[in-house]
Amino acid sequence: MSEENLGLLKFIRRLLRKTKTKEKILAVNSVSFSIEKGELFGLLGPNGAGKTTLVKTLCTLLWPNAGTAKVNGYDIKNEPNKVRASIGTVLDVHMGWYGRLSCRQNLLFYAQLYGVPLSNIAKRIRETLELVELTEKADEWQQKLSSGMQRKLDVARALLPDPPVLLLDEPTLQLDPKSARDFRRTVKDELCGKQGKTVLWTTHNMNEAEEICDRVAIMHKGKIIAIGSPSEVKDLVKSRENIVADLEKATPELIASIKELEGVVSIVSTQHSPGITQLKIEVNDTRISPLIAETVVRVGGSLHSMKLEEPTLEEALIRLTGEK
Amino acid sequence: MTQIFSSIYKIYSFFRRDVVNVSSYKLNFIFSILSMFIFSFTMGTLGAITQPAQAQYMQAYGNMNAATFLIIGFMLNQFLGQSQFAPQGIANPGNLERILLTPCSIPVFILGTMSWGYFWSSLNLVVFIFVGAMVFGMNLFTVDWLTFITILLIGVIAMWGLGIISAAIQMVTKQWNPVNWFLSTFSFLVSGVFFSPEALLTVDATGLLYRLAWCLPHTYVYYMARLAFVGKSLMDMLFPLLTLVTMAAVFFAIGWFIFKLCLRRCQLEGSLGWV
Repeated sequence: MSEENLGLLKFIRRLLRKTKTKEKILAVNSVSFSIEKGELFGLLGPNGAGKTTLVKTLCTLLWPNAGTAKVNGYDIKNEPNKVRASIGTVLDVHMGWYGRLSCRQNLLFYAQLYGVPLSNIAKRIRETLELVELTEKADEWQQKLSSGMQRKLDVARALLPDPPVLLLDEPTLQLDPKSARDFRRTVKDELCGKQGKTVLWTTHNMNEAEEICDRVAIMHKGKIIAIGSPSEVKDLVKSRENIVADLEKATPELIASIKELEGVVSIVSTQHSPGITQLKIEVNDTRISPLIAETVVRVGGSLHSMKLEEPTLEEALIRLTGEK
Repeated sequence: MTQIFSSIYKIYSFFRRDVVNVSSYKLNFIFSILSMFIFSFTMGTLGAITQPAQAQYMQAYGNMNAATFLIIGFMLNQFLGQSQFAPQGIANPGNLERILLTPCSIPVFILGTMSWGYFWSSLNLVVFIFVGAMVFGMNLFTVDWLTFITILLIGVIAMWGLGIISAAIQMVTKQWNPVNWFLSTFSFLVSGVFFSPEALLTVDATGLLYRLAWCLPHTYVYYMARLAFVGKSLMDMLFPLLTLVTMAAVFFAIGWFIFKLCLRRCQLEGSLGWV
């Protein structure tokens, strides 16, 4: 066989060879929780925690290898159509839009697929566009919208059938701060508060979760490692608290001396202002704060201020997941 | 009954969406219609030029003229191609994931996705027949329309089966589509788009290509549709008809089964949205 033919043969073999090595990953493992009607439930976790997989499973796009779940009282395995009729879903990517159709035409198409009654379609489209503040863009091609506006259109589509349950995967992603804030308020006050919808909201943004969620669950490596109200979750890590100290002459020796004290878990040092260093000292027991002050003075530092700091939800997440 | 109306309404929604989308490309739309006329004229001309060479094979087709033979072949090829390739559109990851989030059933989704394509292919069919009749002596008075439409519908079901198998494979492998490649390439050569399968025996003495031709549903559709154009009824072609019906039933059942299997596999491994 000629070299050219050998090359062709290799090319075909390479083409036919399995190109993707499929490594099996258990993305969601033994997760169990329930959400009350009208509750805004936050699902938090670092990248790859399994949040999107869980949302995709609940909206029936993924099929669980084991176990099941109920959404609005319907089993995702046995009654997937009823589940789909009960939910509005915003996934993490824009999908299924037709760029050369206007926002209104796109929404009309989906309203028809969702089975929104004919007499109600125009009204629902108007309402949802108003809710996401896209009324002015209603007759523009979808492809002309900015990514933030496309995100809003994703939300409008999810709200079209007026579903009792909303699954929102990173819904404020790509929104500007004001739009994100307005949207959070709309979901909290209007959709959950007035309309009594049940919302599952996944996010990386801890401030967002802390601001609006009634309860949160923290996912890590496919498992839920903490669940409760934001303050309950923060309480879980309260055994470790932060002491924030502003001081002068924070030499490496001084920091090392504090680190050696019993009860100190970690120290993060930042340059606060010229000559002033801020130390965030994570401790097991806040009763060691006089000892810290004494050590600073003994090693030649000068203490400006020292205060106790409550852990934020973000810190709770970092501590609970062990992520740095 | 409500369910049926609801399904028809949803299929109409897909159709309407595609009409709006296609009509936004106005120039392309106009030129595509122009292309239909040009292609039908090209096929008719090719048939007229090759009439002496094709004449010996035309006896099996009631001595129809070669221009009519070619026009029917090419227009059916495009119609069947639509049926074969349309299911690929449903395996489009973004499309599929998003539609599966709505309460729209998979059959409605498939039919809806294909509805515009069929409208367009039917329009193509009408243009070809119009040009054939007006310019190339296609005799429309002898056509058994009921037989022609029945053959077309059975052919479409067979093609759906093959197309769905192909789409399902692509959904899982996320790459090259061997089924559609084989069918579109070989059917063009052997099934009788441009010349009767019997003509293959002049270049392939082993008869391998000729036998391969009669393993493909395309060949039966072209053959029987042409016979319908010279007035043959379904009863006149029972054997090829039964063969085509069997192929359609088998391919469709296998296609549906494989599609469900592949969809479930993608749902299990989470690869539905992958490209």
